[in-house]
Amino acid sequence: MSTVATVPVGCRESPAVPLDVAHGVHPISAWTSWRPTGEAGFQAHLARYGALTVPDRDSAPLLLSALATLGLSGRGGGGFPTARKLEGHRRPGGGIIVVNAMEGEPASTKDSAVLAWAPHLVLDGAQVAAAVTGAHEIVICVPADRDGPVAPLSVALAERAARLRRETPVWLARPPGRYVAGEESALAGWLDRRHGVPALRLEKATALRVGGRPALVHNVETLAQVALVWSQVRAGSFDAGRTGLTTLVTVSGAVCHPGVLAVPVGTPVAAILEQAGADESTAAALIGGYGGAWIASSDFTTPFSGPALRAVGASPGAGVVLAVTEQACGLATTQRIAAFMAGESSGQCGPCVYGLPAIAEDLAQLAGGRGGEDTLRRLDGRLAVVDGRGACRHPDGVVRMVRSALRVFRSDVDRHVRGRPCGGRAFSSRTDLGQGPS
Amino acid sequence: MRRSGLLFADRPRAGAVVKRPAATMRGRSKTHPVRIVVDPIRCDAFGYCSELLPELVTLDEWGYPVIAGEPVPAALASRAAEAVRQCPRRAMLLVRAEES
Repeated sequence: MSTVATVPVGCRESPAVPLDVAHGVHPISAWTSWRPTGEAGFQAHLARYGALTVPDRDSAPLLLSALATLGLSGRGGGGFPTARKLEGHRRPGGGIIVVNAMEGEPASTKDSAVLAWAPHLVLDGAQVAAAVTGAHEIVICVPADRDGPVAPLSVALAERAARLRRETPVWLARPPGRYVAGEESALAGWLDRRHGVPALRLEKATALRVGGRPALVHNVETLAQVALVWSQVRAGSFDAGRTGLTTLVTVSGAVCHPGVLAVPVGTPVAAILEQAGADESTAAALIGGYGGAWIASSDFTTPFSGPALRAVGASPGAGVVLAVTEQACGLATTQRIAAFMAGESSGQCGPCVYGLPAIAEDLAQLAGGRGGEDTLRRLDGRLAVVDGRGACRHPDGVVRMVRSALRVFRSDVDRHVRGRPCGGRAFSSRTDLGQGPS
Repeated sequence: MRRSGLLFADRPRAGAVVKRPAATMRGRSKTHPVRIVVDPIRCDAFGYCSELLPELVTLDEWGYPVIAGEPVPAALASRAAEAVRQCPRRAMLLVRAEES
């Protein structure tokens, strides 16, 4: 997580629960309780999970049905059911598994955390995905401007090369580290021809291609979860009733202990915030990511799961929970995020290129007390016009986030519209994001 | 799943001659309901579509087309096909409307 220089005023010296001890008792969640790198990491991994044997023709359906029963869906933000993704690409002939470690979401660090804590789980998951889909190659994409995950990955790959024969070959790619570079068609485009921007896909089921071969893009955490489920299926200990599914959440903003938590899917947002050291002044939280949705504190009882969050207009997205206190201005925070997102457009589609800066400018006027009812009406109109009109979902995420802000920070908006800006600054004074807009 | 072969996730090189669905859908538009899709990556806001088919295409404040309604009513099918043909960027497509 982003570094916090000092322990903020009002925070305990250390978290009540160590952040690397998983919340809950599910055996599957225990995987974050160690932080291995180097040979010791591989030994610990082997001690816990055993040497990997990948699924064969007979056992692959068992894995897919376990994944479907648990309801594992993509953890990069898209949330597509993992079993269906793997099932849809089961074809012989040698595809490519793309491991998406781009983590362009500024409020998320959980993918980097997984690679630091448990690189072998990710590599196991990638090998399993390759075996299930008949892929002949694995490509791990780490952004060119972020070297952190490279060292643990390199060590892990060297360990495996020395110990495990006959694994599907793995190579590392370093695409440019921009927000949309991790969008799966942009990633495939970069690998295929160094053109790392999203493509128009009228049929989402159409396979992405790299070098003419079908490419299947999976998020880092998703693959680690696949490996965990497979280790249980393989050992014959999988029990859908007993084995819950965990999810990794990056908590940031106005909390004493920003960081990555592993929590059972369905843990209430309030419990996640509490564990990260948020207090009762937390007024709202951005859920999912910069293209996610704000929820008010009255909805903090909502379980962190797809269906439950959908009921309050949000989704788990990339597992982001960003808290703001009532002292922070929700509108100013939203404006900063929208301006950042406008700058991260790949610049291909007019409605995104012109619409997002216009939306950010409307928000700036409102946040600065320079906009009235007419500004708010114009913003509403622009949100409706931009929604759904890009080749990818980047503009849609911004529209969703801004709409949720206008709903959740309604009283802030009303005050600003009446020319009485609150004077609160973006985010909270207690902690701030180490990355992203500033 | 039926592959159209037209909806490839690629951006053709500038100047490349690309077969767009319009060419193949033209003869079928009478039998199958179609809808207009704008490829926002190719679209450069020339605005011809809105002039040729104002009933279905309006322009946003930046000049990019906003498509209203679907599928294309039978009475407008031939003019929709014409608007698709006239796009200088070949950014409009007619695709089969999903059965509902």
